[in-house]
Parts: sequence; C-alpha cells; structure tokens
Amino acid sequence: MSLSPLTPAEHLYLTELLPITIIPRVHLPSLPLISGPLPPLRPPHRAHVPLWLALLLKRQKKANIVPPAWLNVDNLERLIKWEQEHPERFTEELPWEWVELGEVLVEGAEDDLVGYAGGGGGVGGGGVEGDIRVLLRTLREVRWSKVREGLRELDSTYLKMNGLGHLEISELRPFAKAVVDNLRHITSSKEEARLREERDEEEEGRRAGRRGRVRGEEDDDDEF
Amino acid sequence: MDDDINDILAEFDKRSVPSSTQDLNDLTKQWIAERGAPEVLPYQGPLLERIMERIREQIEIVERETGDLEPNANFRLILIQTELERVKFLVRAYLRARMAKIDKHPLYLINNPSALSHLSDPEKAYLRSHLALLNNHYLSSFLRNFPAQLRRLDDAAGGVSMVEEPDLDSAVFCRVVRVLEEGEELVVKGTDARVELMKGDVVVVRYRAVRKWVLGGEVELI
Repeated sequence: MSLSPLTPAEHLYLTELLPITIIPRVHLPSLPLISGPLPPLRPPHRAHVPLWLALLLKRQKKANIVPPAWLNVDNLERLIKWEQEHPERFTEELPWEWVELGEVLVEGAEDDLVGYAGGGGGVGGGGVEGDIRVLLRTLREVRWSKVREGLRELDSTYLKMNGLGHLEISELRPFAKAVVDNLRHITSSKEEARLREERDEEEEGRRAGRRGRVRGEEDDDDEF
Repeated sequence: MDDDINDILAEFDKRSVPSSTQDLNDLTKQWIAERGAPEVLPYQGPLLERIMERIREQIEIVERETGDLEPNANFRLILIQTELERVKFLVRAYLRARMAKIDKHPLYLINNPSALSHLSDPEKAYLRSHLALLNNHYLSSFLRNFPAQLRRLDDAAGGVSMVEEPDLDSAVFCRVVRVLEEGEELVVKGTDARVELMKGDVVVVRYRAVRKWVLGGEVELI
C-alpha cells in the first residue's frame, strides 16, 4: 500500500535525522558522513550531530544529550495549560516532530532530561523523570481531544490542521482521508454537473467574445 | 572565551548546508512525497546518482579500513556503517514506494506518455517485463479459454475502462513550504471552496488541487 500513512518505524527514521546538541565525553576526529562532514568532537565543547548519532554515542556513554529547549517540566506544564485554555487552536511552539522526539529522548536519554528538568535536585530525581513522561502523555491527550472535536469540520474539500505534529497527523490520517474521500464520492455527481456547466459557460464565452479569458489552469488530466 | 567562539562557529557551520546534506534532505522529502502522492512523481535521477556515488565512497572507506583493529578506528567505522545502512534504507524506501505504484497502475502508465516519462529507464523496463509476464500468465492460465474479444486487459467497451488509474482526487496531507505566487489560491474545482494558502499551513485536500505546487516544490506532501 503506497498510500498508507508513514509507519511508526518510518517516523522514527525521520526523527533520528534531526540535529541535536550533545556534550561529548570522548574525542573523535572529523568524520566523512554522507549527510555532510561531522565536525570533530572535542569535550567539553558542545557539538551538533544527527539524533541517531547522538543516541549511539549516548548508549556507549560517550556523550550527553542536551534536551531541546521545549522539553522540560516547566515548559510542558505551561504548554498543557495553554492548550487547555485555547480549545480552538494548537500551539505553534512545539516542533513538527515533538511526539517522536519526546518519546525517543525519554527512552534513550532519560537521565539527561532529568539533569535539565530545572532545579529538581536530590533524591526526587525519579519523580521528575516520571513527570516528563506523564506531562508528555497529558499534552498529547489534551491535544488529541481537540483533534477529535476538529474532525467535525471535515468535509469533501479541504481542512487546515495547523499546529499539529507529524505523528499526530499520521495517526488521524486514515480516518480523515476516508471521510474526505467518501464525502467526495457522495457529492461527485453534483460537482461533475457543475464542472460541466462551468466548462460550457467558458466555451460560450470564448466563442462569443473571442477574448480568450481562459482560466490559468492547464491540467492535462480533465477526463470527465 | 575559546569555548564561546567555538560554539558560535559550530552554530554558524550548521547554517551553511553542504550539498551532500541537501541531497539527503531532498531525497527524504521525495520519499515522503512519493508515499503520499497517488501518482508516480518524476524520477529524481541526478539526485539518486549523487547519493549512490556517496554510498560507493563510504563502502570504499569501510573496505579500506576494516582490519584496522585499533578501537578508535573501529568506532569510526561503526558510525560510518550505521549511517550507510540508514541511507541505503532511504534509497530502498524511495524506490519501493515508486514500484508499489508501478505495480498498481501498470496499464495506465504504459498507455500514458506523460506519466510514463516520470519513470527511470530501469523502472520502464521493469514495468514492461512485469506486464508481459502477467499477461502471459493470465493468458496461459485462463484467458485463452475466453472468447477472443474478452481477452484484453485494457478493454474500454461499454464506456467503462477496465484500466485502473491513479485517483488524482484522493485526499492528501500537505504542508505549504514556500510562499505561493501573488494571487494564487487553493481552488477545489466543482465546489465553492477557495482559500488562501499561507506558508506553514497544513491541509488535507484533494491531490488535484495542489498537484502543480507539489510538482513545483511550493507544497510538500507529508
């Protein structure tokens, strides 16, 4: 099925291409990667590397990951509040791949998130890290309930979904696509009649006035 | 002090994107577009060639340097190989997404010169031989028992063509990545729907309505 939405594995692949900041713990000379030369790693200087590489270094304890600015307890709490207060909109502050990024980083670099969770020192570390997971989940749920409300707006023509993340869109894609496609089939005879009318009118106009006010469309695929 | 400068330089480097990085980004986008579009999009020949060349170079590095048992060199190779596998995955995914569509609408493609021109030479060869095999197989297994006038696979008798075509009106999900030209707006033919598209907008809409922008690069399928 070529038209199925991207699979979770494919989303993961895309997410792992994103650049992220790390603090290396080992020296590594410059590396000729296909995605462009990787600058040499020289602790304690920060470096920007693709996420897949950061995770690999992290697993081998060769680097720490600096979490993106939006991914911390304070900010997530603020965003959840914002999302609850704005039932008609989605925040523009989250990155396109926020769900995937959040999950990958919680999975692969939990301790680094805790380190940046904002002053949560001492023994309560476990709690803070738990919080991030819970907060990410809450944020997702708050937004998802708005998505469900928004689906009422679906019709056979178009719907804007600004502010949603890539994974969120993939999740609602099978349903939204089915609705739009089926509604189109229902209204198709009406649309075809109208198209024919429009075309006839155009023909007439062209014949009558020879002004040739042809519409700018040059689709070569009008085969009604 | 040195630190800061290095950080600033690193930031700066990030902004000037090397061509190789751009190529990889482009192919990633093309792959996703191919996954989302109902029709086969134009084949990205030169882009694929550049990336295949890079893959060959990396394989050479790996072949040259394996056997070097020094742990640091070894780690370097692991990184290179990991990336190599990722890029190969991307190339395969791109080609497979196209092939899935070639398999789905073979008769449409072969009879439609403008759609056929979107395929690469190997893809055309694949389309032809696959179609020939299929045709022979159907003929030998059951079509030969049919009356001669019913044996065609591209029959259009009675006003109904049996050739399945890509549904260009099917709903796609897309994002506006470049500002559209002045005065351009989204028009869904046959309906009252017309709307101005802004850069950054994410919409679900019929493919036909955004097709020219997808091909032009203003709109990106997601």
